[in-house]
Amino acid sequence: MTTPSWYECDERIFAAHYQPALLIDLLRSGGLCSHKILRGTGLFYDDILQGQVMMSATQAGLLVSNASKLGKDPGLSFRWGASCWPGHYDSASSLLGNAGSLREALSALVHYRRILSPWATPFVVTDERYCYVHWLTLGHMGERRFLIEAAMSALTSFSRWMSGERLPWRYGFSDSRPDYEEQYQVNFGSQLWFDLGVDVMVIERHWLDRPWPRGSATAYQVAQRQCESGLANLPASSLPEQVYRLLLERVQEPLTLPDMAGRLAMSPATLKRKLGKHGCHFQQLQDQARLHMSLYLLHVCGWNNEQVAAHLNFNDSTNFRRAFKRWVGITPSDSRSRFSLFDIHPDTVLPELVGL
Amino acid sequence: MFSTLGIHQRKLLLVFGLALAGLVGSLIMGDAKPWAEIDWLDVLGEGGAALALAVWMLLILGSRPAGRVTDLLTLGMGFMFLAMWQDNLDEFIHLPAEQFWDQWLESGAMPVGIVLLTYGLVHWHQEQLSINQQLRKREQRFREHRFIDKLTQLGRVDYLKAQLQAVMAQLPTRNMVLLMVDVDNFADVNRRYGHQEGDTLLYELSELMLLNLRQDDLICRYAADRFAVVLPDTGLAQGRTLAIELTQAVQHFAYKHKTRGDTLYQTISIGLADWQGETTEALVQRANQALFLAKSSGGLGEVA
Repeated sequence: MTTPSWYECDERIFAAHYQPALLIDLLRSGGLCSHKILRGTGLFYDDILQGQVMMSATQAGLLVSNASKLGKDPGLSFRWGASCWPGHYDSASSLLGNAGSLREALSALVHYRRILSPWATPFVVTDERYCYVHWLTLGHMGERRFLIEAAMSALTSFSRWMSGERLPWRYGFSDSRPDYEEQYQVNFGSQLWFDLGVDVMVIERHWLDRPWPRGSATAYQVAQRQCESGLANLPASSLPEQVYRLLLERVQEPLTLPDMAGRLAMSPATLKRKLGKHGCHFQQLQDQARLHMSLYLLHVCGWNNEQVAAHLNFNDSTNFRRAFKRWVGITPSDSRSRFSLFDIHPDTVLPELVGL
Repeated sequence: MFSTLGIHQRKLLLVFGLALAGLVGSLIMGDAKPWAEIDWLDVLGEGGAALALAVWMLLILGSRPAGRVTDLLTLGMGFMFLAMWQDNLDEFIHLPAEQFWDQWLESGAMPVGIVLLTYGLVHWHQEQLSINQQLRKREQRFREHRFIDKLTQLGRVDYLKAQLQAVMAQLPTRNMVLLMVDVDNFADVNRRYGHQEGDTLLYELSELMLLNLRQDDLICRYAADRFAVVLPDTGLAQGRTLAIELTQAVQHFAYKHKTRGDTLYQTISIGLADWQGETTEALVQRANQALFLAKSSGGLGEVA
């Protein structure tokens, strides 16, 4: 591995005049001064207006933390998200803005997530009936809940705009029901599930290929070529995301920290330090990967505790139940009964994980 | 916060000028008391009172536009401040007995101040009654500034819930209808014209709906582009009529883009629920379901 296929938290790779500028504008129109909004980031609004400033993941995270504290408006994250896509982010935006279907849009989002969705990483999985968009925030990128609200609002609003109708998304959240639930109702509708252990949007699979009137096949292809030549060489994922992906791939026989460091061609101490700078622990990523896989197996595939425990290499189902409770706060069977939506597909065969 | 202080410069100059004159006069004509003679408890009590009065005066000036009521309140507080101030100076400076002005300032300013303040408060009460009349459809039963939405100046959802509870507690047998009003495709306005234009439109729509409601009705901003309207003492049939009136009013509202001048027409969908003795949350939920029905079928939705 000559050049790393990931980026780290102090690399200046996010354009400050993209999504960050939209957030700053929203706060400024609410009467806040840019100085306060950018406090601690070392950036100045006048420089951002020049359109050349790049931010690191750490700086971007600070901006979001400032915004969620200063804004004092529970609707801010939703408004910001709704204004993010397709955006004006050069070729990535023209790719997204010309998507002819939800499938094409999701594919653009996944491939060019570093530009289109730097704060929350989308993972797209489909089975026979449903498409699942799983949003993951790893490390210190600001307030987690704020970012999840913004990302889900972005996809909701964008898919509605492009398709010309409100898509029947269902929403699952790892957080519990907020005090400001009305924001969720108005922006997301009534299909909401809280305390799910994962942040996910679900839609019936047939919506993936329904044509979008605003899309343009020619423009999409041209933009795709531009993206491939201009952006393909840049790393798409952060270091924690890279580690998470490797852990998910090998979830049945968990990698240890030294194994992982070896795969990433660095010493275990270096990996630990670098993850620490992102605000992550190796163990925490390990837990997340196993939790997400077990939720998938339980709710999507309809497996029982014994099957999941065996698949994830737990000694027995009691151990699995205990671990699950530590991760989510409730037992697997509670989780199953509470989220009956996700039990619509009781199938003992593991469906193929199709990455888009 | 104190941006309005500028317009009250002359009143402030008068009060603090007199206070300064009292200090200078006492210093010229009197002698400083030795430390041992100073009663620190008095200093604390009188000095604290003078300081508090000065702060109250500044708070009033900082929060009110110019006008007669403001003048009266300030001068009242100002004179009371002067009396306490002079009283406090006596603790430090011994004045010869033949200096009557000190006595006058000390004992005369207080009653004058009290009379002015009382007179001011009576007028303030009348002023408040007329402001309440203006604010009526925004706040029916109680005032809580923390629950006000900055953009539309309407109550937010916490305010709505508190108000609903107040209505329910007051007359449990009374009819009440709750409307949930949602602007159709409002997200498109934000996308096409930007957030600032969207915000202005939302503000003007809320003003328009206010004009179409009765004196006792209350409108709140629920979230984003959804509003809630409480119609107390209203049956289903009348609720429907009012909802249709709101729909028509918005339909005919020719909003003008603030820079380009073109007209943007909007439509709204309304969910309607009459109170059947359930909790606030249940009522709000039912109205939201009705709105969902209205959105899918168009027009007005109801859930029994």
